[in-house]
Amino acid sequence: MKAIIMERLNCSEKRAAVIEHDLKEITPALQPLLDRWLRDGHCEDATQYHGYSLNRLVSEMGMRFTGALLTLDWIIKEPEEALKALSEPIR
Amino acid sequence: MEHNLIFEGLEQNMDTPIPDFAGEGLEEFAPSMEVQAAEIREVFMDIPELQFENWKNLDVSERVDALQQLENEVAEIAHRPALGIELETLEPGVLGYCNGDKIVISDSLLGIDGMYREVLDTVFHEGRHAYQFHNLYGEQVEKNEVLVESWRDNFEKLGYESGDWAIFKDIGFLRYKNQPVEVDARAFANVVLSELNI
Repeated sequence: MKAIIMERLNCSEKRAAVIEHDLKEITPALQPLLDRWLRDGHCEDATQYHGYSLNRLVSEMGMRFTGALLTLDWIIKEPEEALKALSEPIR
Repeated sequence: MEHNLIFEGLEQNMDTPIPDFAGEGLEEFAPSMEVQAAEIREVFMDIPELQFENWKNLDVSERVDALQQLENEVAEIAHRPALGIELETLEPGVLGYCNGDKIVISDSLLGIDGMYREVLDTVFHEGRHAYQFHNLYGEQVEKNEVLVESWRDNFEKLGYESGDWAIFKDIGFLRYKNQPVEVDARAFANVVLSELNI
């Protein structure tokens, strides 16, 4: 998985290792999305969780697949904390 | 939920006792966060343009000049080089960033009177990132060795050396917000804004 992450994101091995670590912990509901992305790079899905979808995180916040999926994972697991963080600015 | 699987326990280290130095050379270190905040308050009050009653009458260019003056003072207090403040058009929801060479603020932020606190929060937040950069790639002026090592570990593990600051796009919001460098920058800005009573 790390090699695919490095290739698709053009990121360092260290960053890819961190992302791989987190992706291995995602909620089962999101696993099919990850499996497909790893298989063919597909990264679209409109399924909403508390108002957020993969598509929204990518299109409105400029997130890449891994960032969007991991953020969605947080929204599912800790919606109150995640939604509060998403309502705050990024510095 | 484990938020810091790789940086586990580092948040507690911000309160770790500072190593007991012999006493020599202490003047080379920057003051504590709280002392910096108190000193920032003193210089802030001496910049009339930064007081809201005057700020609201400034144009964007004048506001940038005032913020640059503030950054110059904050940098001196923090024993680091001052960085230039620049405006850029950033993505929605992004108010600023620091890449070690400059502090960038969203141009849309500076044009809105009602965002006065957000502007200052951003300057202090990004200035703290500049402090982190200086300690890692310039000269260590932070006395807390554990804190500096948490920043070093953060930067190295997440590949900041490439200059890519927008890593939340890759790693997601949770890990981004919980990075030691972000926790520290938010804490610093909050301490300063509290001292300023803004």
